[in-house]
Amino acid sequence: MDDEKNCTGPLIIALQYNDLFDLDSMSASTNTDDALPKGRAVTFIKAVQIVNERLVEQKETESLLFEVILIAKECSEEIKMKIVESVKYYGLEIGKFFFCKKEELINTLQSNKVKLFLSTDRDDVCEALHTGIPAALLYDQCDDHVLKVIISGDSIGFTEDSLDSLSDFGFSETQIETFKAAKICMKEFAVLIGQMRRRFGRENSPLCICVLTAWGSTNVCASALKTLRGWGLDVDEAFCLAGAPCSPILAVVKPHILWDCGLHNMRDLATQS
Amino acid sequence: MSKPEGTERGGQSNSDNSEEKDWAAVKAFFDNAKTTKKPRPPKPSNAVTIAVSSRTLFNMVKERKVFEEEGLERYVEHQQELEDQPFSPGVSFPFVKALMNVNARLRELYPDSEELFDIVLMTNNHAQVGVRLINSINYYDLTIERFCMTGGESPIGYLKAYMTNLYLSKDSKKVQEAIEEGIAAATMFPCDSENELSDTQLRVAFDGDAVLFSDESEIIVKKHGLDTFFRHEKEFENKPLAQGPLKCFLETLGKLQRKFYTKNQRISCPIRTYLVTARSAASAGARVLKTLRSWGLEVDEALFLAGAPKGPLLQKIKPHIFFDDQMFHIEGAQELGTIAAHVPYGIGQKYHKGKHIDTSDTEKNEKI
Repeated sequence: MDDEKNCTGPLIIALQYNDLFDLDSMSASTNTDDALPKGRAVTFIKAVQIVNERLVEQKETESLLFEVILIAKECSEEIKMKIVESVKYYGLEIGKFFFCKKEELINTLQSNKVKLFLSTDRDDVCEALHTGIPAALLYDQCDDHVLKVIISGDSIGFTEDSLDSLSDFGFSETQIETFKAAKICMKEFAVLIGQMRRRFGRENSPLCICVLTAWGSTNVCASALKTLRGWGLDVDEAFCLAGAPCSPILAVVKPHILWDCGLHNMRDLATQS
Repeated sequence: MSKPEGTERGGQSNSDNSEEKDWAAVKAFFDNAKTTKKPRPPKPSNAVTIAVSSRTLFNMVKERKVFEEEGLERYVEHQQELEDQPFSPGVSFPFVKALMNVNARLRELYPDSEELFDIVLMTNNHAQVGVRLINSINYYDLTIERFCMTGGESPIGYLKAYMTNLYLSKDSKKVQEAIEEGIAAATMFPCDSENELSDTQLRVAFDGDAVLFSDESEIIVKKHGLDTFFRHEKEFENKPLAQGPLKCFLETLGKLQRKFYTKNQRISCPIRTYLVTARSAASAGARVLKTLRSWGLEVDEALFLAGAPKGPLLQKIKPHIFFDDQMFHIEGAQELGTIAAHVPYGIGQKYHKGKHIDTSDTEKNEKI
């Protein structure tokens, strides 16, 4: 699609049902008539809905809105029913449901022109990135009414040459490829979210975009800021860590979406819950 | 090097090993990177982290006027237009350069140590102003590798996340919040005529009561007068005073000083500390010195003024920064060209109702 033009939406985000509902917390004694217990993604969807409301307030015919679709791999008929019911119960605005087999995940994402695939599963995210689907980590979020997105400054700010030289420092080929793939995928998402962000002013925006440079120098961060600006995305907050641990900073920012491209340890992210 | 209590380590202990692995990779990365000639930044838990705000590091007075008169949008645009023009140095600039000099000396003596100053830019300026700030940092060749631009949010959570040992800002509200959270902090003020400062030695001057020590004795002076104060101090000479907000910072300076002493560099030590107190040596001085001793701390020079103005003495010392809790002394120092930082702590604050601590900044200051 031509991303230079002021584009029409919607900005489709795909989630998996096991991030939307916390199936692990269900025990045998759970009343089967109750809705499924809420998972991490519920607060994310609520924040997305608030952004949509604000966009529509400004312009009734706004087409650049978020649209959330739900993917469920390998579900029994019973679970399928429960999913649809629970979504309704929590008042979640979910555009479409896709029940598919495990192998069909990538196809489903591609054929639905998903602009962002969000998952708490790092492997799913990496796999998607490798096939060219924009994917990011659904992070632990608080109940804020601001949708927070963190974009990797390392991924955007580093040049092709310096990316290749990373293999000298112990990064595997796969990790470097993930990194490169992420940068390409990120652009389309960045352009769209940039346009959406510009619908609001600098203050009181329900959408907040941050750049986090975990490894690169301040110059890498400056390069990332300028590149993003060139794509039409004016970032709100910027962090440059120069190798300092990420988790304390992330614990303060509490993002919903984390475009982490594997260049810093995702293990300490996974232990946050 | 221990971090002050009240700051969280962050991350879980079970991920410490993976963090160590990460840290080893970061070290290798920086050591080998051809793009940067600057030395590798230290791990936050080992370093002495100094957080400075953008307005103390650089002079942003003109830009601030644009913010106040024309609003946030125009301010950000304005900064972007001037992106390639570096800012001129601000009030904490000499202090930062002096810290860098100490680091250079430490690296000479201890090339592998991470017990260094780590200077972090902590600002609630908008990220778009970041490019100009980074350009300015490069222009002056400052070793500032880490920053947080919070786009209007309070930086206090980030101060803790970076394990900050000292926070300097022009916004007294933020400084107060930091102190309440147990982080040493002070409000800086512009200084018109500046004295020529040493470029080989970092000089830090501290007031005693309500800065290094608690305000317990000041409370006595304010409520019961000087005579009671003298009697009290003599009576309790051997009872150490409680800690004040900047005690830990003096402690970290002392630890770094000792690294020079053990290498026989006491005479040329690039850090020198001063106690500049209105107490008099005879009647109230002993308690102060004994308290410092009980804490295992030293100052290089202890100056008891017995109530005389601090300005002229500071003019001779020429510190890169002087911490005091009373605006009266801050102003006295500034009048004679000393860079002074106010520590908004203790009972001294309530006795300055007539003197505004730059309140016009606190309301409009939310976005920058």
